[in-house]
Amino acid sequence: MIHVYAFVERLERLPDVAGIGASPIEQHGTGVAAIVSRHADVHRGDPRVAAVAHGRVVEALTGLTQAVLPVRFGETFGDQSELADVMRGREAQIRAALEHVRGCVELGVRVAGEALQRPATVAADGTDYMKSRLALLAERDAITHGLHERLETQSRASVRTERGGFEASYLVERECLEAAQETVRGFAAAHPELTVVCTGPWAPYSFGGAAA
Amino acid sequence: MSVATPAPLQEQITLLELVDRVLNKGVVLTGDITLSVADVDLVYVGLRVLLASVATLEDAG
Repeated sequence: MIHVYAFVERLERLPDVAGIGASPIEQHGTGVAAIVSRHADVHRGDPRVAAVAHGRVVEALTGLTQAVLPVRFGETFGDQSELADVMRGREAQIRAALEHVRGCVELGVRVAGEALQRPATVAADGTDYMKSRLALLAERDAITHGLHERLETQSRASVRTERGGFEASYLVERECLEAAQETVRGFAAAHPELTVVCTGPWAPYSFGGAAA
Repeated sequence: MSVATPAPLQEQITLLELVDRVLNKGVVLTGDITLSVADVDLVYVGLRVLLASVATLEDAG
């Protein structure tokens, strides 16, 4: 069984990092290469530990090359030819996605706080509920709009996730990383009532859409 | 016997963010998910609780 971590342009050398269950990593492919490891049973053991090992391999690749396309955890293939078939069918998309993320890292921003995640009050009816829900979303957007807008100008692309509070990922060129982090720090300083969490730089997990 | 020391908060957040990205993002090739849904849910719950506890800490400070 082959577990896939990421796609890269074929590397001259692999990073010094072990894969899931301390297995060695390999690369397959000539132009575009898949970073993989082989397992008798990849599902054995704690999946959370395996997920972290997957992430560590991807992060190690980011330190070695300018274009890394992380693959979601859990993609396995029976053998090398099965993987090669999928790669042949997707090569153009994978190349396009690698170009899109080249030279960039991902910055994760979450903003939480009472003003953004106020527990819903008991609504009299459905209309009432929708009104209060919309009001809360409008309030949240009013607070975070400036932050999001500024970060968008500092990034190549962005993705927002709707999970209650404000949550977004930004594809930032490495040279702009410090400025983007400074934007978040400035926002956090101006809003001491909110919890602002800024993580990264990550590999561009949220920006592989072109290869999907 | 050793006693595990809890990781610092920043480290915990970073680890949760990493797991969130690894499980929910990245290129999907086959669409097969080989991880039980319960574990994914646990990650979300963990992150929410953690964010709430950060807020509480800040309020106290």
